[in-house]
Amino acid sequence: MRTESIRSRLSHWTVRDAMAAGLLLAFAAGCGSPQAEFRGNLVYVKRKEIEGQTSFTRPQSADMANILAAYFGTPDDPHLPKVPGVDMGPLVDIERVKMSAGKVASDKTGQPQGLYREHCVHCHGITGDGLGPTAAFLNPYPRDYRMGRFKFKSTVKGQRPTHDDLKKILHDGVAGTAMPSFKVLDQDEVESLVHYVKYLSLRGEVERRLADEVVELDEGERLVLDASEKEGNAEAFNGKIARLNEIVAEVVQPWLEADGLAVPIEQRSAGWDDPEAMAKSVARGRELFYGSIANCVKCHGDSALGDGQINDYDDWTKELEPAKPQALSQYLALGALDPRNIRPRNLRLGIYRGGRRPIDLYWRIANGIDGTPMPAVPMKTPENEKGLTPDDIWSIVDYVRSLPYESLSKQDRQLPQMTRERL
Amino acid sequence: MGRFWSLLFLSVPILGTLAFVLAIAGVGPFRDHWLPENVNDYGGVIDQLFMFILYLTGVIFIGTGVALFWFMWKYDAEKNAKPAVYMHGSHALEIVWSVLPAATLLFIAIYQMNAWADQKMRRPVAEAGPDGIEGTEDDVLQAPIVEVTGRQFEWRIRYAGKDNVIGTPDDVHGVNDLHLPVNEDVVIQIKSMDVLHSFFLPHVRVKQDVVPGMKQFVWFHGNKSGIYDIVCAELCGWGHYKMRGKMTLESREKFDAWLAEQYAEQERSGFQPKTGADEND
Amino acid sequence: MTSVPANAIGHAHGHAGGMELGKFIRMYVFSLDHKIIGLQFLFSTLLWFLVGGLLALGIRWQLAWPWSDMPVIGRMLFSGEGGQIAPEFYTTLFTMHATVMIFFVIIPILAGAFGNYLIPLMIGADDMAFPTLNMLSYWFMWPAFFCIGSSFFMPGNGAGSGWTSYPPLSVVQDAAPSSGLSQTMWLLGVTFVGVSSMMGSVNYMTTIIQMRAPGMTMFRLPLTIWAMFITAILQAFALPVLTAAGFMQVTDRLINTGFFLPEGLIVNNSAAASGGGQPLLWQHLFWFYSHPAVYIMILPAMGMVSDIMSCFARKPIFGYKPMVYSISGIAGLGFIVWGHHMFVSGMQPLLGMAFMVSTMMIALPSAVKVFNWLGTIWGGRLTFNTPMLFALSFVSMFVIGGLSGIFMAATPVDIFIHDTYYIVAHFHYVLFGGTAMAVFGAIYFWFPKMFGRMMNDSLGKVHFFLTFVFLNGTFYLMHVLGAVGFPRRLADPYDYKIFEHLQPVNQFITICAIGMVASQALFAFNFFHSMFFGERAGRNPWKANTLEWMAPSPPGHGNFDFQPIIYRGPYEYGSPEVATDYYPQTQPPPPGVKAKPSSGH
Repeated sequence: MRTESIRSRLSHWTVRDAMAAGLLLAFAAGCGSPQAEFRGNLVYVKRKEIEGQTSFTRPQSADMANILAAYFGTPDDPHLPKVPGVDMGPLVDIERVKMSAGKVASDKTGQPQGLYREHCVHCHGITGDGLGPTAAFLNPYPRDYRMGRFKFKSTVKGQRPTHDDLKKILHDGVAGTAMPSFKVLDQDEVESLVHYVKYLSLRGEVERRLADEVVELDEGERLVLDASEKEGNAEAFNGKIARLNEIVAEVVQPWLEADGLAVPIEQRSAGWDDPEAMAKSVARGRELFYGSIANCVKCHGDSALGDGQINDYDDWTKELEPAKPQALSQYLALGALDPRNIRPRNLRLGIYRGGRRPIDLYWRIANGIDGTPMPAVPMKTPENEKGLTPDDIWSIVDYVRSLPYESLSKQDRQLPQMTRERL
Repeated sequence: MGRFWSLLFLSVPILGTLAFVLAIAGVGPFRDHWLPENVNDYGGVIDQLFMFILYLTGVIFIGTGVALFWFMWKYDAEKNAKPAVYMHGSHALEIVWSVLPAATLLFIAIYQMNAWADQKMRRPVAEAGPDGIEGTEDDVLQAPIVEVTGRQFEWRIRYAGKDNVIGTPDDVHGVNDLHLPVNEDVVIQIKSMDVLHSFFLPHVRVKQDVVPGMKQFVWFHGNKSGIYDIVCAELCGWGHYKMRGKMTLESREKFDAWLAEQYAEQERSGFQPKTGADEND
Repeated sequence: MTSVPANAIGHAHGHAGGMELGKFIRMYVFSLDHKIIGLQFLFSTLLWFLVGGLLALGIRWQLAWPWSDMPVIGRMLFSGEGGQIAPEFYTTLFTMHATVMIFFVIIPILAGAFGNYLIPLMIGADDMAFPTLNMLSYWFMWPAFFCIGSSFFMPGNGAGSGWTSYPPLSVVQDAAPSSGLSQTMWLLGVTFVGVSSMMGSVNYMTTIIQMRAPGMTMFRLPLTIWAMFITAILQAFALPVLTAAGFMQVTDRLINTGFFLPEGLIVNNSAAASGGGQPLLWQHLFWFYSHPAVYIMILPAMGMVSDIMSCFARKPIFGYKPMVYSISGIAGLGFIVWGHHMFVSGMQPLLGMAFMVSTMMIALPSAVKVFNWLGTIWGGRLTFNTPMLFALSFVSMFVIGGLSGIFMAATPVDIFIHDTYYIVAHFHYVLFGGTAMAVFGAIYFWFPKMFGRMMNDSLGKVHFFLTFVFLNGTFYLMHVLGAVGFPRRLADPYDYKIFEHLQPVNQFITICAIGMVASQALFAFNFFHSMFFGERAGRNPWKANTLEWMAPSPPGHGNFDFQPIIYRGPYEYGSPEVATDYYPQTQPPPPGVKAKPSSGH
């Protein structure tokens, strides 16, 4: 935590102005800091335009920006949409959002401010679009929150993550990627950042829905009516507003439900500590891995090195239509990052992005991974006799967890010359 | 003006010494602006050597600073009518001020060697080897309790677990959060996964660059429980400043309990969603 | 850029008007005259000095108010993030600050500007031994300027793996945003600087050995020339190693030779294409050059300070020969101390012990020099004008920088202070407190010779006072930061519990740094104003002994309007043989006094 006294003691303005004056001398240019602003989702708008063979008019685009600003405020002054019948309370706490918003600073009581811009913005961008200045150089790219979709969570593919899912990612980081662990931050700060991520997600989703809405409009029609048009036209005016509120409600609803949708996992039946039973389970897992129902081998490859298929894309990249060079080049011109293939995980490294706990792996297999080609395995149901049972999934988990310790995986074998052990 | 300039130069040793004295005493704005508390039984010697060199160089600093001031004050052409002394040097003086510093410097170097060897070359011994004498070549060196691997931009941590061997399925994995037992010799195996990092524990005076392709060891003997920082001290890329870790020194019992808890969580195989809407904290 | 000095010199000479373009270019742009080349170096390096200083302010800004919006340039560079600096740009800032200051300012201003200008004048030659090579040594700086300058506009906005460019960070293109093309450009730029320095050093050695005026024996050379001579030797023998290592890194990057990469490296989820090398090898090769380079950056300054001090103490230098021997001693030992940069790098600890001894011993010649400078002003008649004040401050500051070096030489202590602000304080005291102050002194001292006009002394003293005060304000407390373990190169150190209370000190340092950069405006004004409107200097305004003051100010082509014959050493101030308190090297001895075979004692 920053000591607030430090920042306030030497008053910002005198010192900062002195510095500014010094730089002014050198650059002979104007002065002043820009107001931070959310960036519009130009790529998605462009995609909608191509799809609908239309082009958003200037008032339509301005409406989108104004509606978003009215619902969500600015990066320095965020607020939540007030929509009749929707209680955001359980989902996002505006006070916590404010702790992460704004410029990096501390207020008088020692509460940090601007946590998002201190810890997140250089990768995830001020809008949460995953387009911060550092983003282009990371592999994998940082998450774009604006689809409201997250990979590593306890809910089924397609559903929103729970609060705890997001918190776990911040707490543990995503192993094997550039996403660090924020374990050493105060719990309060982590909590605040989770709320801010949700806030950015909601905002991004609403923005996308607004773009969808614009495409549906008649030519020249707008999302809202001007206040001057309200006179004698109250019904249409209110109708538009109601429609917007409905969009917000539709976006918020799945988030509100998500916390109840975490997939429960029954404690494994006893006896798993027994090496013999474990060996059996691993063997069964191996069978399923190569079998036709789970069919892990298709993507993760014959040796589980993640080389089964390497030409697919994740959903965020698919939105850029990487197969259509002409469309793609338009998106890239708008700032989208070069598409990269998504690689199935190399299971021999012992690095598990979504966590190494058995329950994490279970969720990955049972729920699939949202936004990626990784599907949920078919479960055994009365209709689907061929599906897997929870025990089958546990066997796959056991097999996957045993892979890094197979002799094929030992890294040391590859490093006999260079590994120098001192003392 | 000669007087003014002499005094300006005199202010260098005066203010310079004052700054260090204030920092060492930790008064006023200089609170905690000195060597952080040392909690390593083997680290005190580094502080002592630091202070020893500080006193020695301090004397020379003040001596030369005052001499410079005095000569400027005294031989100012505006105030001093005496003609300049026509001389080209003095053999005797040259010899004195060559031999004295040479002897001092050599002494400092030799004086440090033992401490250096303790820090970097004499890893704690678990037991004397077959010959029964400690300090000989066949000693069994203490096994590392944990492996810390630098990676852009985090410290990946891997405890040896019950079998005391790193690289087996019972290892306990973690990131950035290092717990270690206090009041005993601790050996840490350090590696790098990608680029150079430096494993810096300021409070126990440990710093060692980690180099990809090399396995190295650091050790210390913590003597005070608490939470301390792990710092990366070698430029490792854009997120260098993000490589912040936390080291918790705690009693053996607490450490064992913590490790067992971590292991249990790592092996967790059941989950029931929480009930109620009181989760937002 | 060079058109500025060229024009200026044209005016100073007073015969530029109406000159044909071709002749003008031959005379002032692609000139073979060592003085013009020296001035070209001087103006280029002063311009880069400004760039380096502004880069330093960027670093200081971030350390004082991390992640706050940068004024002016924040809006230009980081509008999408609300004007705050991006962390990879911070790595670029300190990398480029060091690169610019070391390779484009200190080394070329000492060897290139003053070496070029002074060597032929002070030894009584009409020019360098190889004038064309000399011209090329300047023009080879331009590809370097281009490479480094343009790298700011390439992906990653300039190299960002530190001026030491340690692999794997610098070699693996995926390791950092700035490890792409801009790192290649950085390596090329440094290589061009190396080529330039190599041409210069060959020239200096040859000139000093072959072109001395009659009577100018080696032990009658001014200490400036001795220092330049030893520096040239250092460069000639150390630079090939850096150049070779640089090429190895370039080939590692471009054709995957794998000299510096271990097997099986995966960075940023991309496997390195090659392996089987050793990252530490680069460090050995790099420091084998860059440690001698540290002395390349200080020895000429020491020489110039000796000349200035002797002149304004009106007294022979104390211990001329010990001074020469200690310069040589520093150079010799300088080749066997590189390992002290690597005490905690993973190098075999036994080697650390050997390097500790050699490093301790290299403090000895420096100590001898300090004592000799004190001996020089003892019993003198000191005139406190601007060059003398800068020279005295060199001694005062160099003592601090030298003594703090002993901490680092002590291996156990270095474990704690390695890569902390203690190191930053140390080398800034040597390089800014030492070299830069000496360079300022030298500019004030030789300006009358270069342009035939005096710089304003009162303004110079104000400039000195402000620089001196702000310099100490900026760098002194860095020792204290270092003692807490405050590491270098962290974009935001205050997240660490142990460092969070250090922000006020850093803000104080930043304010002083701003003051220091701002006070250089006085110098710039004084410099350019005096070039046109300064008081006329005459041949020997300081009543100095050395040869350059016997030539016209500024000297014409061919330097001397008479054949200099040297009768004695350079520091015969207050000699009883003559009535004046100075006794130029060319002045024949009065009748009845036999010329001594060499100077000294």
